[in-house]
Amino acid sequence: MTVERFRYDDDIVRKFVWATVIWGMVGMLVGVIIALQLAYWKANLGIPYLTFGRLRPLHTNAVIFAFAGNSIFAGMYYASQRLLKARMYSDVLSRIHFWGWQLIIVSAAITLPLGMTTSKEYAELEWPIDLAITLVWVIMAINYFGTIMKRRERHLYVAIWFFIASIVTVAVLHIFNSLELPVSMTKSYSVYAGVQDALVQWWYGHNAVAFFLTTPFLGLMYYFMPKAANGPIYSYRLSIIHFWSLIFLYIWAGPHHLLYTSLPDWAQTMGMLFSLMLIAPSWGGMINGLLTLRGGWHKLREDPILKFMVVAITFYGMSTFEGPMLSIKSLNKLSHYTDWIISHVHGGALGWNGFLTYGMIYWLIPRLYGRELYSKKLATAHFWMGLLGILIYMLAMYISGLTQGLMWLDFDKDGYLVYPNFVETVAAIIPFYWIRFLGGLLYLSGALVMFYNVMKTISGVKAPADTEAEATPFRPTELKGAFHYRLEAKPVLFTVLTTVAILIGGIVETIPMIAIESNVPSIASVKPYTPLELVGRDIYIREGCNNCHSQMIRPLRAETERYGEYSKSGEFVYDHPFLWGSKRTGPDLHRIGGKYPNLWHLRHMEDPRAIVNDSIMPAYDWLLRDKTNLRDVKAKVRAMSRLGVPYDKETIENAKALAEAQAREIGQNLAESGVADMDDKEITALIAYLQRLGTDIKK
Amino acid sequence: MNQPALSPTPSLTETLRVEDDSSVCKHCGSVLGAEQDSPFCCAGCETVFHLIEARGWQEFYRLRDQAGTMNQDRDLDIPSYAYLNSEAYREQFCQERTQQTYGTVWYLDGLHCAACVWLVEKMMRAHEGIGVMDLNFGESRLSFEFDRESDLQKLAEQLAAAGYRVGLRPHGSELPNEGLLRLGICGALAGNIMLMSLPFYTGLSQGPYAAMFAWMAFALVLPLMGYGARPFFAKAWVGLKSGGVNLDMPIAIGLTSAFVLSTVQLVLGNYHELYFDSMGMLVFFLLTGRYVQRMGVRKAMSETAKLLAGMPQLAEVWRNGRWMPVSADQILVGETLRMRAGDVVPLDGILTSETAVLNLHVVTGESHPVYLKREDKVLAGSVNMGGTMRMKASQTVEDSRFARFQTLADSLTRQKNRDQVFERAARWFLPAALSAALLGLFLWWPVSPGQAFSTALTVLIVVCPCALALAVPTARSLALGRASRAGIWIKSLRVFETLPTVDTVVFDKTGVLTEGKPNIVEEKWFTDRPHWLSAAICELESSVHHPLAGMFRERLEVAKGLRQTIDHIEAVEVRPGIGVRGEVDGVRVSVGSLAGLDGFASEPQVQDFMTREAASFPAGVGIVAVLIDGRPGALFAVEDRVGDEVDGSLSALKRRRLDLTVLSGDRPEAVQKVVDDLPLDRGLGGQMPEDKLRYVVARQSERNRFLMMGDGLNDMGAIAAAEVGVTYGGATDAALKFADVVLRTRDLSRIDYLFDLVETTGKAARRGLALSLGYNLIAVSLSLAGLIGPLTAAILMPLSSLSVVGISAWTFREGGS
Amino acid sequence: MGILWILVPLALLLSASAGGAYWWAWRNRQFEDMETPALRVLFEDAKPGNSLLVDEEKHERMRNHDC
Repeated sequence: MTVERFRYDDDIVRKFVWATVIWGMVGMLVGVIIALQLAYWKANLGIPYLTFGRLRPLHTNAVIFAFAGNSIFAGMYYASQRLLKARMYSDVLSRIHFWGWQLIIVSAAITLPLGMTTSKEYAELEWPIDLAITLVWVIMAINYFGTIMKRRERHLYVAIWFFIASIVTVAVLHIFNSLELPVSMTKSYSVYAGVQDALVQWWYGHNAVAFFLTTPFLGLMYYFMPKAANGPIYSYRLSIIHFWSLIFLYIWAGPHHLLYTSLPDWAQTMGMLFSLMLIAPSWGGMINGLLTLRGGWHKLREDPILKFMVVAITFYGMSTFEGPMLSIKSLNKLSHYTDWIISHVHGGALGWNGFLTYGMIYWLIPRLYGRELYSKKLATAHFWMGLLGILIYMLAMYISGLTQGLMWLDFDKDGYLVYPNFVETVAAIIPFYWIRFLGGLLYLSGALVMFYNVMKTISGVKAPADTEAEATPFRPTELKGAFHYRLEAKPVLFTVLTTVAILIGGIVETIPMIAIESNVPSIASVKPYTPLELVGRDIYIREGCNNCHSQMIRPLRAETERYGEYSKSGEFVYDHPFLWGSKRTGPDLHRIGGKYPNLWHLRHMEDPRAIVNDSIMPAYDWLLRDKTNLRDVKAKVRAMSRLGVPYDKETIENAKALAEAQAREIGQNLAESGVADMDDKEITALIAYLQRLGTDIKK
Repeated sequence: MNQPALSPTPSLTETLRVEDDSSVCKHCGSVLGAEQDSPFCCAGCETVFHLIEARGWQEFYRLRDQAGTMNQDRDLDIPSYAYLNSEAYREQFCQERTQQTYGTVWYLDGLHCAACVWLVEKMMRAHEGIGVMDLNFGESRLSFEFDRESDLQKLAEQLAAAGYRVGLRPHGSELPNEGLLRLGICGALAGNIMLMSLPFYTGLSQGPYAAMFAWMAFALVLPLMGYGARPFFAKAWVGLKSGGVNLDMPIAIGLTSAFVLSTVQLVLGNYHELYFDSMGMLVFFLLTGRYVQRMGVRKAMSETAKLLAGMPQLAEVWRNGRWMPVSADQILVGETLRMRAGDVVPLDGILTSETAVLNLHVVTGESHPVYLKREDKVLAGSVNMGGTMRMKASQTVEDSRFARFQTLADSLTRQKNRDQVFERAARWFLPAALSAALLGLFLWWPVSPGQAFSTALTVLIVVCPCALALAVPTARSLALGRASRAGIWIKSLRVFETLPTVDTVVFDKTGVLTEGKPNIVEEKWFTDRPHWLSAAICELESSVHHPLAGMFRERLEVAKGLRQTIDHIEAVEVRPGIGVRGEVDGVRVSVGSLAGLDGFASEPQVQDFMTREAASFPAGVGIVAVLIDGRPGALFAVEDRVGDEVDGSLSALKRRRLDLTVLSGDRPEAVQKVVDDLPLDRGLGGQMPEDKLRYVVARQSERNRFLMMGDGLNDMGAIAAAEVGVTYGGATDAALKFADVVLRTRDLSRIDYLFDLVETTGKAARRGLALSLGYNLIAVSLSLAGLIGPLTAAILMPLSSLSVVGISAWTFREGGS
Repeated sequence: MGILWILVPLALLLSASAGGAYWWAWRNRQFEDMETPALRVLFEDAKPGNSLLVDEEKHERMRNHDC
């Protein structure tokens, strides 16, 4: 019956805000660097750790999990404590969450340039880090649900629901997509292969976008937009409908990432239909967010925070409209694998996630430090720099994507490809890569301006004491006697039980699945990789080749003309993980096997421009110097065999010898062509793999 | 204040600016008069401001400035909340939570914006002994727990002083919200069934995945049938048992046959011939229609509930040697009650005071107060206009005349509340749908039995009454929204059907056509000291709390401009039914009716003179005569004024060719005057409540259909019996309870608007129905011809439903406001 | 494609848990008030003052004031 006084944990919010600010600059800087590398390949300085293939995952991970992640946590910790009228459940757990998460980011920043990667997009981190992510995530979940349990406000505001959904779903997605069999501390293989792996990956990949970059940010929008606009959300009822319809629909849209691939037709069409259905709830949310400013549009003129937020919500609307459009098959034919997709995702990331984060930070900093923002003018300058940066970036990528897409599909009147040489389509878009670089640079400069502004704001300020608040405790007295009473009164218990039920259900199903014979139409001539090919494949993964080269020829005339027979799902049954790729900065490699002699590959890897004049591929000359690591080849083959790849006992036992034998063979071939002493170098392993690619079907 | 630290938000400076601005009130922001030296418009604002300031609640002003609105219509006449501290309150309106704590619900009038919510919550928290608390802004509902010792009276008074008047709501007006759960679950089920069925649309038809999807869809359909569709099956079953036909029957038949057929196909392995997704959509859209309708009703009901929320009066009863506050229903026959000025008499009784002035307006419709003397009968519902009065209870509350009448009205209301559109539609819809399905079966049987079943099922799915079921609710809920914005609350949806049939509009006179308070329309003076006389009349009338007193004071002060002082006044004597007299500054002054003059007049010629003079007054007015020492003093023609807008509003109704009738408990002459002045067809005076009811019922048997608008207990029966009963906020609880439509204010133009709105609603519903019928006819023909299969039918179905919603919205837009 | 044997039921399970959450929310009357929560968000936690002290004199004036 008494009013309780307590303090919010503002310190943890400050920590996450700082992490957001700093990692944001780091992630964007890496982005600008790799953007420069595409325009000017020498920008990798010849250092293996700085090549595009290795830095690109670092950029995506840093931006998604470090920048957006910390931003979510900052906003979540700030808003939830106030919405629930309670300090976080445990300060210790909050700090474990914070430092654990930063540790994960640092380890990502170390391992990714070292080439330790699973190759699965947005899930590149190797298994020990995956485990750490799971642990930190569970700790955060406990902390969060604990706070919900001790809340003093009966009603859970819609933002809380968005956070809950994000926490639960991301956990499930992460666990299922990261099921992998370790070979060593730094290497593992996905338990799924080929089409299955692709489906899980994009079910995850899409939902990572949905439940990491959309739902939590919607939670932030539903809290910070009304705060910034000084008025209630346009329609609270609509926000509730928005939430539940997203929850019931989102999980299904994944397959649209795999149109024209080896995925069955019906599954592709289904993914497309559901993506289209998503427009309705997404736009409901956008309209709800924008109309919050009803009657106050004039405030937009002076208030940089509102500028950021309104533009962020507008980009949300644009992206959620463009996304479903891109999942329409006929449009996807043109846009897939091109920079159009890069434009699309950056509209979402820079516009929606970035701008919402900036709006939030400008709103939070004065409140967290008890001092007005140093300069509103600088914040406005940041806004314009950012907006201009995004527009330049996106426009350049649209044109580049459209140019390349049209060039790929272009036939002359005699039925020949107009641009049979892939590099022609690369040379055509280099100017746009420069423009994109400038756009990115502008956006990054905006972030630097914010950093300066924030530093000036807090200079000389001692962080004030935690905000004091008061509220009456909440007791669920209304519910009595019902069977579910105890369960209902405890949302934590309820959610934990549900999650456990889901996990048990999932695991129970996983066991038979691994045993299930693959339903992919099997092609008798498709055989497992030899041990050396396997090692070469791991080098391919290490160097991140899949970031620029696809291995999936779509059943389109332009592609079969250019690359050869289209890819069949049966060809990938031994691909743990799949390496279809999602972007063609270089040509598709699925039918590269046997196309060129071994020496061609060696020369090409040593200096691509020696073979293709306009190539923008980095030189991988270290592959000709570094020795192939065959120490754990046996372990690798055995791991594959455990995952159901049919290696006989002999192959497993003699894996190393077999690999060495094959390496000698290739080395001899190379020596005959004039390059000696390559037997034990990595290049032979890679050549073995490349020469094998896509050849089984021809046997 | 000059710390460099951050102000909570930029708008704090705006607050400061407002404070500095001397021309507006510091609390409510209303504009101050030039001569006012205080920074507040009234003492109430000042008090609340200091309260807020003293507690550091400036956040209130920040929020208020954001919202830009302010509660300015504060009624400063704070009612007595003594009842809230009584045992009776705890028994009747509270639930015991623990031994020491109770839970209760209040309804707050005057919540405008976030600032109001914030302030009320703060005031609640700051109050001793208040526990868990929840304020629902949309429904103006404040539920909380409190300690036995907590002083609720004080809390309510504080809230009222801040502008939030506390009311309690009569029981039984809560609507459970189970529909939302069913709707949500069915939405999820339907969505997932659709998912499981999508592969079949996109080309999958056989194989293990097909089996998996099909069986999962089946698993999802089970809860849909068992839980989601239960209301339809239940209603269809009820209809079947009672031998009637209703719209739920074709739904039930369609669902059942689709389920059975699909299950058979599932077992046979024909996975592409399943209709589970159609079933999901069907149930979901039907439930949506019902939910939309219920939401509209709920909204309308909560609006009316706000009006209905009041504060039960405690009567003071002499028990155990002292005056005790007792709730009305616990007063025993024979007990003595004490009523203060303004109290409503809770039950029938006998007056034990010497005299009393009562207003019977709500009981009988009489516009003039009635003077009673000892042993006179006092009726429940009348209002004490005089000083403190005592009476002895002769009936319990339930047995009081109006309680019995209320029971009668209750049964009348129940009789007329039946949803007829659907019943009518179902009568032809079911046979039509079934025969079409059978036709399909027969037509295609020779081709193949499988094709025949498929066709029959397609027909059953395409004729799904979704669109049909949506057309009416959508139109109505749109109408409810518009009505609500226009200050009309439609309590009973039946109005949409009955209003177009209405041919006669019946009005109560007092308080409906007229303002319900007397006015001086003409006056004659026969003295050279009119100032002094005016003051004397005021003093005399004031001393007996005569309702005319206020009117006299206002009128005379304006007319004479000067305030005349009276030195002393004594020997005041009230003559019930006649008037009042007394010695003012040593002169005998009497004020009373012309008819009662002989009781006061010293000479008969004075009476003749006054009667002659009064003859020039307009007919139908009441006459008040004033004598000075038995000689003519002044004459006043008093009339209950007709509202300004009434003439225009009635003319508008007249243009609709409606018969307009007045039924009033007032004197026939007064009624006749109104009939003469206004475009009314007829008027009957001296109508007792039973007479009004009898009039309506008798004419109904002659096939007249009524809209009755009244505001008092005396209209209750007629309101209940009429096809459409209308009243307005501020009317008696009884009238509010039985009315189908409640207007926010006594504004007759709203009735014309209501007719318009119902017409538009009918048009929207008809268009929707036509659309859905057209769709049905075409779709049935196509499916009979075998041109579309069940899958196409399932896609068409939601489209037709959506277009019905669209056309409804479009009709309203087209119809303007 | 055997992965569908996991993915589809898993997605269904997620949907079911969302359904469960929806049911929980309904049971806890989370949907009852669709307006006030949107307003409550706007409240800032001001420094709590001596809010439990009641100024008797002002209450008296409040009760008896007239305009």
